[in-house]
Amino acid sequence: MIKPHSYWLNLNSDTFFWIGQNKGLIYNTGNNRYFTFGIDKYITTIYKELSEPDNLYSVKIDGSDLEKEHIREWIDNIISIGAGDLTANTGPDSRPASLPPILKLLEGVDDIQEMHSRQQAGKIISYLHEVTLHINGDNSVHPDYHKQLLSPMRSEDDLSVGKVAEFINNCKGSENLGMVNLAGDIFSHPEFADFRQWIQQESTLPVTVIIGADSFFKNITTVGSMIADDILFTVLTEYPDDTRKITNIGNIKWIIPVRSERDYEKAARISDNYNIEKRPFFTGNNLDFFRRCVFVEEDDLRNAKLTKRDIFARQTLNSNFFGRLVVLPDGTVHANVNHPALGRIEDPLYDILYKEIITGTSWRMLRDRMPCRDCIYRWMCPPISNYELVLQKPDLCNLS
Amino acid sequence: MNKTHLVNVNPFTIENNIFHLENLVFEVTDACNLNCRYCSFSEFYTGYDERQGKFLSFDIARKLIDHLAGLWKNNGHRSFQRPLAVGFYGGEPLLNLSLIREIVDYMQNLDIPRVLRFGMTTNAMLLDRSMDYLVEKQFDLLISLDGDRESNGHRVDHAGNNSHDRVMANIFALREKYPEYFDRHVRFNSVLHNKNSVESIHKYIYGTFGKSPSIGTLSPSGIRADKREEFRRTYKNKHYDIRQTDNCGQLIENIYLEAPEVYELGKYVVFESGNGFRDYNDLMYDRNVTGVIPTVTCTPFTKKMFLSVNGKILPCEKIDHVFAMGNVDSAGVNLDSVKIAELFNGYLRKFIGQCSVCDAGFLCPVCIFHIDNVKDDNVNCPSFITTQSKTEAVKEIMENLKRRPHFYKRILVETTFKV
Repeated sequence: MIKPHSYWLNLNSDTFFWIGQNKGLIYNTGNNRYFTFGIDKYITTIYKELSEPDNLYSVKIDGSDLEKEHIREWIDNIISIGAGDLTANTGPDSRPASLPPILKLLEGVDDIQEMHSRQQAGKIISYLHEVTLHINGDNSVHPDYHKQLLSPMRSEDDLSVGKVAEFINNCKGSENLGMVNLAGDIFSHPEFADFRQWIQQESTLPVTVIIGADSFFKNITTVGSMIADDILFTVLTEYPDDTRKITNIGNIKWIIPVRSERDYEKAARISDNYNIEKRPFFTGNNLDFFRRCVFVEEDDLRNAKLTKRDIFARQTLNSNFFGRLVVLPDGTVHANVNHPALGRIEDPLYDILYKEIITGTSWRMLRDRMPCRDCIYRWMCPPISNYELVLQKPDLCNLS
Repeated sequence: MNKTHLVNVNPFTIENNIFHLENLVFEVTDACNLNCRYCSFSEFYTGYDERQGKFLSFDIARKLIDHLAGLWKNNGHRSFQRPLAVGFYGGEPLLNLSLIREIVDYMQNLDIPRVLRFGMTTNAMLLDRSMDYLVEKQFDLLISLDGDRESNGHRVDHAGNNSHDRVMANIFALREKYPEYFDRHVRFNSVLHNKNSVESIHKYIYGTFGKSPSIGTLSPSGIRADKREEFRRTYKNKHYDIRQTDNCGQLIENIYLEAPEVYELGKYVVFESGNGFRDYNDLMYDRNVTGVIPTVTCTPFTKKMFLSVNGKILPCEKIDHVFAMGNVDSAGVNLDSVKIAELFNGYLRKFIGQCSVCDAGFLCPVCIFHIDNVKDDNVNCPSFITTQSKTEAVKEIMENLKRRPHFYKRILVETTFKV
C-alpha cells in the first residue's frame, strides 16, 4: 500500500489547545481528558495554523514528520484522548473541518458601550443576581471575615430601612435577582422593627439575614419568632471554639471559618447533622494550611468536569463575582468589598452597573496577570476569588 | 432540544416581557394605495380581519400607550433608559400620517424611562409629501421594493398600474434632499416571486442605492383553497433560486446572511455549536437546565406588541388575528397575563410530545401560529426532524462552510442575531 504523502490533523470542536512559554495543553471538554507537552517550533507552527479560524481546526501534516518520534507521540496522544483525528490527504476535498471553539457572544461589553452611547440601557440590569447590604456593623465578628466570606463586618455606621428598600426596589428591575442578603447585627439596628416588617412584605424576594453567633444567641427568642415567619438566617459561628449549640431550627445555615485542618475535622464531624458550610479563612499566619488544603492541585483539574461553556465563562467573566453588588454601612456600593466603590446607594443603579461592567474590575476579573497569564492551566483553574485578593497572590496553586 | 426540560410559560414571564417591551407597533390603517397581488391581505390569504379601509383612532392608541407607560413608570429603576422602537404598519401607514404625528408627539412628551425610536414599513408612494416629517423625527424606514420595473410587477395600484416609477422617483427625491438620513435610516425589503430573482433584486437595489435588501418569500400559511394553484405559480424558493444563478458563489458572498445556507450556518454557530451565547447571563447559566419552551414560537411580547386597527393586541403582525391576546376598546385595555399564558400554553401543549422526541434544535422553523390547523386537537408539527435528518443537515452546513471557510470568522466578528 502506498503511504500518503501527507495527512490532515483535525481537532474536534470540543477541544481547546493552549500554549504557554514552554509547555502546551490540549483539553477535550467532551470527555474531560487532557495532556500536557513541551513545545518547540514545530508545535508552535501547528498551533498558529489551528488558531486561524479559516483553517477550520485542521492542519496538514507531512508524512515525513510522522517519522519523528516526538511528533508521532504527540499526535497519538491527541487521538488517544479523543481530541482529534489524523486522516489521509487524498486531495482538496479530503480536508476535514470543524469549528474551533471560539466564543461568539451576541451582546458583550462593546455592545453595551454602543448602546450607552445611544443613551440606552440595554439589559445590563438583568445581570444583577445578588445584593448584599450591610445594614450596620457587628463588632463581635472578626474584622476581616467579610473580605473573604459572606459575613457581617465591623462598622459604626448604619443604613436606613428607607434607603435599603428604595435600592432593592430599583434592583427588582432585574428578573434574575435571586438573592438579597441583609448583613450586620439586625437586632441592634435602631430600625429593627421596620426592617422586620419590610422583610416580611418582600414576599417575592428571598431575603436572608446574615448575623454573627453572638447576636444570634443573644436574641434567640426573637430569632425563633422570625423563623416562624419564614425569615431565613445565615449565622457566622466560631465553632468549635464557640460551644453554643448549633441548631437546625428553620433550616438555618451555619458558616464555619476554617483556619486549620483541626478546624476542618471538627466541623466535618457535625456536617452531616446540620446545614453547615465550611469556608477557609486566611488569618495571615496559616499559609501552610492553605497550601496543603486550599491551593489547586493537578488532581483537582483532572477531576473537574469542565464543559466548553465553563471554559468560555472562565475566559470572559468571573463567576465568583459576576452579578453581585455589596452595599456597606457607610452607603458605598461595591462589586466586591476588596475593590474600590462604584458609587453610593443613592446613585442611579444604571451608573453603578455600567461602571462595573465596563471597567470589569470584579465582574470581568480574569486570570490575565502573571504568573497565570502564561500558565497552560489558566482557563481550567477556577476564577479568581476573594482568597487571591486577600493573599495578594493570583496563583493559589501547586501546579508546576 | 433538551428533552427533559420543556416548560410552559407562566404569567410572570408575560408580565416581564410587557415590562421589558422593546417594540410597539401600531396598525394605523388597513387601507392601502396599492393592491399588491401577494400581500397578506390579498385574495391569496385567509385569516386576517377583513380590510375595510379603517383608520386606528388616537383614543385607542393612547389607551394602550398610557397602560404601558403606567407599568414602566411604576416599577423602579428610573435610571434605566431602555430602547423602545415604535413602529407604524398598515395597509400603507403614510395614509394615516396625522395619527402617526399624534402618537409621536404624545409619546415624546410622556415621562417614561424609554429612549424612543420611530420606524415604519412603507411602499413609498406618499414619501414625497411626508419625507420632511420623517426626517425631522429620524424615522427608520423600510421601503418595500421588489427590484426593477419588471421585477416590481406584482406591486400595482388599484388600477393595476406598476408602482415602480412613482416609488423610485420618491426614493431618489429623498436621497437627493437628505443624503445623510438616507444613508443611515433607509433600508429595503423585497419579496421573491415569479417575476424576479434573488440576483436581480440584489443587483438592482445594491447597484442603485448601495444597500443590500432583505429578501423574503411569500408566506405559505393561510392560503385560500381556491388560490393554491395560483400561489404555487407565484411562489419561489429562495435557496433553489440562488442555486440556479450562474455565479451562485459570488451572489452568496454579496448577499451573505440573506443566503439561506449562510443563515443556517450562522444559526448553527450561534445556537447549536456550543460556541454561541446570547449574553453574559446565557454564559453563566445553562438554559437547558432552566428550561426551554417547545418550538421556537416567541413567548408573547418577547419581540413586540402589535395593536391592530380593530384594537386587537397581538404578539406580532404576522399572525392570524384570531390569536389576539388582548384588546383595547372604549372601556380600556384588556391584557390579562394569566389568560394569555393559558391560551399560549394551550397551543404549546399540543406539541410537547412531538418536541420531546424531535431533534430540530436550531433548525426548528416553527411558529405555532403559522400552523394552519393549530386549533385542532390532533395537530402535527409539519417540521418534525429526526436525528438522521439533523445529522445530514449539519453535514451539509459543514460542507458549505468548507467551500467558504472565511464565513466562520465573518459570523464570529460581524453577525448578530436578534433573539
